[in-house]
Amino acid sequence: MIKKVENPILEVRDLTVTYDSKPALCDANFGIPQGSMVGLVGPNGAGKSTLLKALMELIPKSSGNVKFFNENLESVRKKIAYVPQKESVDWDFPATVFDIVEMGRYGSKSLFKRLTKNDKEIAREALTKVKMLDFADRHISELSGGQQQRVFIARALAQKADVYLMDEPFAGVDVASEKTIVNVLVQLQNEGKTIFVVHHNLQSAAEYFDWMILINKNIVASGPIKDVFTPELLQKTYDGNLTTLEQIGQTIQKQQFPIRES
Amino acid sequence: MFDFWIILTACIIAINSSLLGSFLVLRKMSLIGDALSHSVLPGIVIAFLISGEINSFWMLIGASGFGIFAILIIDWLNRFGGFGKDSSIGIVYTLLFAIGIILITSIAKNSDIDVDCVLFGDINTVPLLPKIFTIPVPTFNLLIIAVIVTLTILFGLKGFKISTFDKSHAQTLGVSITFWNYLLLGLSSISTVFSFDSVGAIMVIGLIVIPPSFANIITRKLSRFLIISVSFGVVSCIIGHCIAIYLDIPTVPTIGFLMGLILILTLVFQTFKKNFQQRTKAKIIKQ
Repeated sequence: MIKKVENPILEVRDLTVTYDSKPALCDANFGIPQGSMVGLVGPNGAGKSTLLKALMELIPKSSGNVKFFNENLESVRKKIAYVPQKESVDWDFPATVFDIVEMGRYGSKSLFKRLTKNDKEIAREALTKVKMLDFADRHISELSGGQQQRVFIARALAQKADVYLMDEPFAGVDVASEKTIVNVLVQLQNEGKTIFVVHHNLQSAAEYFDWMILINKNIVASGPIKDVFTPELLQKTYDGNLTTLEQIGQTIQKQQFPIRES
Repeated sequence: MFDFWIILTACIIAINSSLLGSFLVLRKMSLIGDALSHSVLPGIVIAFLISGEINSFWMLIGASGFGIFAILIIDWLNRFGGFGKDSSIGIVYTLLFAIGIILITSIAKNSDIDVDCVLFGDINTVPLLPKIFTIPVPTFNLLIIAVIVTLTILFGLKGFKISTFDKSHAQTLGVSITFWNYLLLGLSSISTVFSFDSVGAIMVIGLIVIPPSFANIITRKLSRFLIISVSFGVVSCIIGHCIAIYLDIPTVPTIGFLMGLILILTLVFQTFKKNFQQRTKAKIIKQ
């Protein structure tokens, strides 16, 4: 079930991505309405991160095309912010929290210019929103997983974009950080921004998102949460493994202790 | 004056290598320096065979060419051959260095290039070489490169920083990863080639890896990281040469030994300090 969207802010047509001639994502077709909070949900290896990376042109696509605001990525780059998985970088890099958030103000043309006072103010604002301003001068290796994630979100906020693509922002994050991040996302949505989140936790998915895309190499469904978040479609996405998967998920959740903030 | 030129030459090499090395180490690519310093050898020998002289302009062209060639094959093996980065580097530099050694010991037998010089360099002959504006030729060349390297790092700091810390984020901002990568590797290649005949293959790697590693355990801020890295390299070269004169031992290995020793002692000292701090903390909590 793919719901047609009038004037989509992001439109994907026939997108196929292959790794070593094995398809990681097949023939994806969907559109996203402006101002929605989208959850991209599917089992491990379903191509969630692959889809996100292909949208940002970080990996080559085999076929198909992607339009943001009805244009190619290159011409609307400034309006789109991407948050990679926090595991994708080396947190021992010599930099403070503020240094990282500042990077949200870099651009291909402004790399050789000094950052203005305004840029620094925007970075500080972004840190305030994720409740990390007190940590501005901390070295990034001293942060917990949740704090690292909040720094990444702040960096994206500093880009002042209209569309936010986030890869697993809630993975390995403590309860307090998760709450802060959700608040930030809700605030963004209230400002009319569009948010696209790769998510793995079905329990919280129904609560966080108003639009959902189910993916398992193919796009199984895309539409308003009430139409998509149904047992039949979820079963289809998880190849009928949902019950076992859910059980495992619940047991893990019961055993999990909240990660303490340092 | 004699020692002045030796120290100056060593210090300039230290500045170039530790600045570029800082980013190579942060990108976990420090072995590229290793690959470069060995891969340029066939380029040097072939250029010598063609031009018939040592220290010529052609030699530098040949060596730089092979440096860049090596980087391209490493990249190719890594991307299309499915080898890890470390294996790709190992394969390429062994192959090219072996070709170089075979050439030296066969066709280029009559040249003044010898294997010892390739490995350990010949910094003590620098003051005896021909001069431009009263500066020995290798020192003069290195000085020009130092200016280029320092200015590039200074003006390109943001580009190097963002492309080193988070490649994909940089790419989504429209920053060209390929440009910054090849700028860094290209400069490293040129700097390595020019440093090669003064300090030899082994010390080039030492000066690329050890100063940034030292900075890494001392500081947590990029600007300070670069300054400490350069200072460590320069100070080691000055003290190293003085010790070498005093004990009448060769300069280059002394510098290498000194750097390694300071690095390890600092690490040991820091570990003790940490343990001590933790113990006092534990005591305070107990009380």
